[in-house]
Amino acid sequence: MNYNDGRKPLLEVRDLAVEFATWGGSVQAVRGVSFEVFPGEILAVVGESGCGKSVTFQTLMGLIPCPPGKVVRGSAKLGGRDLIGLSNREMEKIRGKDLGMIFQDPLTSLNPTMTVGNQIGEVIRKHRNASSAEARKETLELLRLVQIPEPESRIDQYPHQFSGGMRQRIMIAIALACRPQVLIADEPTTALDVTIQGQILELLKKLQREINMAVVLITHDLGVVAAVADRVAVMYAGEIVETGSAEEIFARPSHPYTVGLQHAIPNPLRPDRGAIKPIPGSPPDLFSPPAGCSFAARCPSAMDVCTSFGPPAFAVERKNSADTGKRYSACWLHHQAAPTSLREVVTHAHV
Amino acid sequence: MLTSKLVEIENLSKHFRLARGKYLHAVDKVSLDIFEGETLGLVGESGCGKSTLGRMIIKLYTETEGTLRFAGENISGSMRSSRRREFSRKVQMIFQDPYSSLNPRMTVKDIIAEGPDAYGLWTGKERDKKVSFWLERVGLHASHASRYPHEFSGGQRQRIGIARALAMEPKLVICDEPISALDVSVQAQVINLLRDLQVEQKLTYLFIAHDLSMVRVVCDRMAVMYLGQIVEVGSAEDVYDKPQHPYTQALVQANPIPDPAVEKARTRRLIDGEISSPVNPQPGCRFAPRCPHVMDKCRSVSPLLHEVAPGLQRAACHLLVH
Repeated sequence: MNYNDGRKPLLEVRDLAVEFATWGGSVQAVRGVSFEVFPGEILAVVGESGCGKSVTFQTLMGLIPCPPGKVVRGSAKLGGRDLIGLSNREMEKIRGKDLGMIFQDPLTSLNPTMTVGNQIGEVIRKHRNASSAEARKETLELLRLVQIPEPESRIDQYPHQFSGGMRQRIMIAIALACRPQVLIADEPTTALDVTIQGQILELLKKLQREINMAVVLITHDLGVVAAVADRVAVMYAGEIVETGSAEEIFARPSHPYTVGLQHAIPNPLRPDRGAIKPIPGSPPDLFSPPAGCSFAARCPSAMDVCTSFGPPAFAVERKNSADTGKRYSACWLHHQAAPTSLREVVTHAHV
Repeated sequence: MLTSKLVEIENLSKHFRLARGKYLHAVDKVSLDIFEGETLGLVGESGCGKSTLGRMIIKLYTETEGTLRFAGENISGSMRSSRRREFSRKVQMIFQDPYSSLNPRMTVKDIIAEGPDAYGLWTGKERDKKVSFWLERVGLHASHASRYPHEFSGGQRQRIGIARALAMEPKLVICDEPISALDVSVQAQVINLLRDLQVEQKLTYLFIAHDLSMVRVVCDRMAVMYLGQIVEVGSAEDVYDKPQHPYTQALVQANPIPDPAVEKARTRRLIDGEISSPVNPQPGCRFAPRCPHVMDKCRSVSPLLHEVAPGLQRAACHLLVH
């Protein structure tokens, strides 16, 4: 898939680190993440709760209250402009217009006292100085775009009159109102039933194709990732441990954590009971993260170096030469000095 | 492999009264058996009544109608307290949310020993030893006994919940979404623990879940619920690999497989619409408004569960009656 063949990234994040001050000390929620989002792609950011995936993107959206939050270092360039350090007023012009966001729980994200039509229209009026009549016309079109039946009568209803799946469609319509370049979808289907999840994922895919918008899908569900993602970034303990195309990540995972995750989830096509292998232990405490690799304590192939030095992002060879996406793995096993016997744990785990 | 029936459910219904003449049919005329030693998966989307059914089996709710038998004994209706006491010991429950299901003001030791204490199962001398045994059996440390729930992670709390349920030495354990609040890497730990304990303690599980893939992998049989009714039941393999009911087919179709190669090759037939209201439901098949194969008959006559394939696979659909 040549989705980013020589193209410039829309969003370029470099070494972003975010901390939260608490009574118990500071939590290092995001610890130096770097990634790109290319035009028209679906990038899935996968990780378990507390790995920093939501905080990363809330920081980009300017949604982290500071204090207690604090961007320690890093940059996030959207079309050449650094989002980090922008004032609230400047951020307001970008939020909703260039960067749209939808959340897990559509009921608490919508205003219960406003009709959905007014909530969608508000974005259009605010960012485009459109008249009420124009905004209403546009709102109807958006409701049609997100496939809400009978939009003419639904436009004047309140959020509680909609089901969970329909509310998520409303959220998507609000996010799309200004045709953002990047739509950040934070666990958009986690609160929904599986048949409704299928409908919303199909809608996101269709929108991404039709209006050529980049989508960042934040999720913990590898099934959802496999269904829609072009590229994947795997996060663990505030860091990105592996990036690559969805095909590569699933067929040839190159980080022991990714390998572990894949063995830990059930695959109904390989329904052998012994096939579910847990990752022992639990993620590290981010009040005082370990000195070396954050996964070392749970890693079956940890070496001496892993516990004392954090691994850099090693470029990993891609099997499919048509695949031009960057492929990195932050694991010492990819260092040339790593013993091959251990390296096989990652390279041959899925063959 | 299927042995005697531990639980026999016949035409069981639970209707909640919302207002005069307005009843929510949470569970409607469900018939289902749970065999001794098996893991029966109960799947369905939110609001389908799967948790209500689980709570009826453990007698947290009294049924509106129908009969319920446990180990051959009729336990329908209200039970005398002495019988109830005896029954409650044999059926235990593991809850979804490991945060709200443990009393924050009790130590782990008291949480685990609460049931045995109430039944006088353990002598004073034994108590600490038994608590340590169960803590270690579920993968925690004996020294954790005097700690409080807030000192543990979600996965560890779920282990405490499992220890609490198993300390009663039950026959049947109702696992109501036991892993859906846990992280992926921890889910597998809890699943493997439940499986080991099942073998060791000869337990029967009713595994209530919405994760179709997990049910396929861990359960012997699976029952699919839609709007208060069982639409299909059979071996997990048959139901997932050869679904007969249009709703089961839709569920399997929508279930994402963690493999992009499979996902790419798949043409999804998604069903439209959403689950309708369980309040005063219309006669006929509950799935009819969303069914791609709906016929006139479906809107007037409720289909009954009947055998659809050799073996024990049964489904409730007019299409499948020959």
